[in-house]
Amino acid sequence: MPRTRKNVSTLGNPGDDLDWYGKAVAALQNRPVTDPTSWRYLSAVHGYDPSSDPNPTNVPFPSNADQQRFWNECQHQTWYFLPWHRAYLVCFEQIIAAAVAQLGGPADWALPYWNYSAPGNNNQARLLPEAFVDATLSDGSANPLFVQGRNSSTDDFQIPDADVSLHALTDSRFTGGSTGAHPGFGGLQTRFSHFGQVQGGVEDVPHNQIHDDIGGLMGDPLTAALDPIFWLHHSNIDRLWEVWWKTRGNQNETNPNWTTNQSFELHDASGNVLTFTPGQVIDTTQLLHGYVYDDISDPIAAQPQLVARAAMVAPAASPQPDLIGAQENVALDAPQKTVPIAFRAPAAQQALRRIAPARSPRVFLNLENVTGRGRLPKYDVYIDVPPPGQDRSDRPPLHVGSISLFGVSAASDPNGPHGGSGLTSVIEITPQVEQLRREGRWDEGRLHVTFKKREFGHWANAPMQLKIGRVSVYYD
Amino acid sequence: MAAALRIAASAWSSGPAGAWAMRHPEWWTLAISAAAWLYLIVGARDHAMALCTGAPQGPFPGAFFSWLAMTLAMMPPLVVLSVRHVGFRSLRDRRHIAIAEFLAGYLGLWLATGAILLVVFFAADAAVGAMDRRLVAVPAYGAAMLWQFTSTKRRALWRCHRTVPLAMAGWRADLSCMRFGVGAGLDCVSSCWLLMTLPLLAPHSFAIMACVQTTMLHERYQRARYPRRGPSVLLLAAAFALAVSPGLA
Repeated sequence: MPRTRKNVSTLGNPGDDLDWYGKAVAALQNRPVTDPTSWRYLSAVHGYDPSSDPNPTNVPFPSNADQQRFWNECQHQTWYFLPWHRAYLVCFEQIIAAAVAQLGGPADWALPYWNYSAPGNNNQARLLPEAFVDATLSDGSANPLFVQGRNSSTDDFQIPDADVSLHALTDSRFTGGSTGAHPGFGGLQTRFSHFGQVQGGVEDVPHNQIHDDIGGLMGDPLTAALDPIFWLHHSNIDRLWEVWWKTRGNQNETNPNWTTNQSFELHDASGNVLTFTPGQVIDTTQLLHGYVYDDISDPIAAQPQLVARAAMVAPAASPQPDLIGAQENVALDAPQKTVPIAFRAPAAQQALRRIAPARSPRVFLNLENVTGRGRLPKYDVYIDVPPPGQDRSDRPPLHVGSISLFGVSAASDPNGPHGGSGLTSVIEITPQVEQLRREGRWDEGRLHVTFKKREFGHWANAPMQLKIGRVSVYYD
Repeated sequence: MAAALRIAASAWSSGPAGAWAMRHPEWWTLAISAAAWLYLIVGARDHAMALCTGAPQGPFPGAFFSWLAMTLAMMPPLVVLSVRHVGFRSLRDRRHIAIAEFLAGYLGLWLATGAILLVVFFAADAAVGAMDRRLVAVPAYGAAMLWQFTSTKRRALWRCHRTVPLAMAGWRADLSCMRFGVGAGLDCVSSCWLLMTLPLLAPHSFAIMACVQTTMLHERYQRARYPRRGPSVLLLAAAFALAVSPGLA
């Protein structure tokens, strides 16, 4: 009988899955790092570097061979993002459940999920679940679900609407298309990718945004899994995958290079090595102990804007998208910066001739090779910001997304697996371009892209050291 | 004639072959590599084998030409991903020019490296005199195998995966493509210089060249974060066995 993963907002009482989660996390945190079922080992499987380890390192560690084989395995900027994290989570769930059982808890414990995108109730869903907020429990002992250094010491991280948007669910293709165009719901085809480059759809929003917003350990792939909220966050991302294909009827990837030709090794609750391929993890009821979610209803139907977006982004990709404009070397050294992108007329006309007879082109904004080291600022991205003195008060500028920071610092290290390339985000701006067309404000010859730094909370003091290698526009 | 060419070009680009070529702009770089392999195997056998059997026969230009052929044969398959990045991040009408500029920078770096290696090789040969190249094989292959395990090699291999932003048009686009090529060449030389030295320092055959090529392809494209060194060690061991085999003088 598969277990049921529950919404954390329905939990918080003694003896429920959240309560036992805290007790089991404490047990795992007491295990040595050489134990594959320990908290530190499990976190290192996602990512690890001694320089960012907040825990003592003068203790026995697993052998170099084991570290190379099992650690630093998290798959990012790749079509393996969703299946790898699903396998990672189900092994973690089995390990925690075994600890829960050892402590006298229920045999059917399941990992809760944090649905920060749930609307209504004054956006209460975006508050960090109460059990994770305080440093101590009611009896004065240390709270195992608390970690230092998050972006807020309260439950309110001021997470904006755009960061928890579910527009990725409107992408009907799992795997991304050609360079410059839609990245797909699940990401781009790559090889084994602990060092991918282009963000997948759901990976970018809401996955990366939540990592950025919570910050602290969660803000860095090398430490993220040390924060107990990480697992509830990824449980929700995994749930969104179920919504995308089971509820919305989309099709998972069938290419053997995805389903069978790549495998991942993880440990189970007994410390045995298990091997998973992406094709093996699609049916969650057949995965180890089996699990389902208490709610995989379609959230898109209740949001007219997203319903309209689904229609706009439905057209199939053309054989080859066209680069039509770009500006390289954009240093975000000011709180607000507008980058004019002039379109190359021959390229734009050629693309329109190729695409326009059938439909309007889909338009993609590429933020290529985003680099920066250390603590980074968060920028929101707008198009159609009016020039100074020409305030267009009938509506606000069109927000199209924000720059993902999760993994950028590590990807900017010239001695790291990315070779210093940084990361690339692709933002589909087709709905916003269509709005500008309807308003008669779309300029076929150029686009102004404005980057505006977030100045609230933790972001206010972040040093401005982010660079975008190139801002480019593609038609598809 | 011009009209016929235009019709042929239009038919090509709108047909399945043209569609395939559009999705694989790297096709002509691999065609060059294949042609260079054919040349080495069939057309310049004596000249290449002279290079590969240790004592370079003939003047420096001849040896350098053989190095050029070897570079054209072995290097393009290693940079397919970088070539695709250049192609797809460029305007459609300058896609292949951009790729050519990248390759000019990349191959130019390897040719410069070859020139230096040949100068050293000729100088050593003149100073030491003719010696059994098989004796040189032991330290040469040993050094190559040890190099595979160094962190310098690993970092250089990681850098082979990197991409850089490219200017879109004009001389800045030309320059950025060439600079990317030179940078990729530097990373490639850092990673593979000892492997490419093996053909110069020890007797070998096309089988040994194939071992070295397979080693480089495997480590470039393998599906793991840390390069799995086992296959490269086995391949180099096989190459060493061939190098010291008395039947392959």
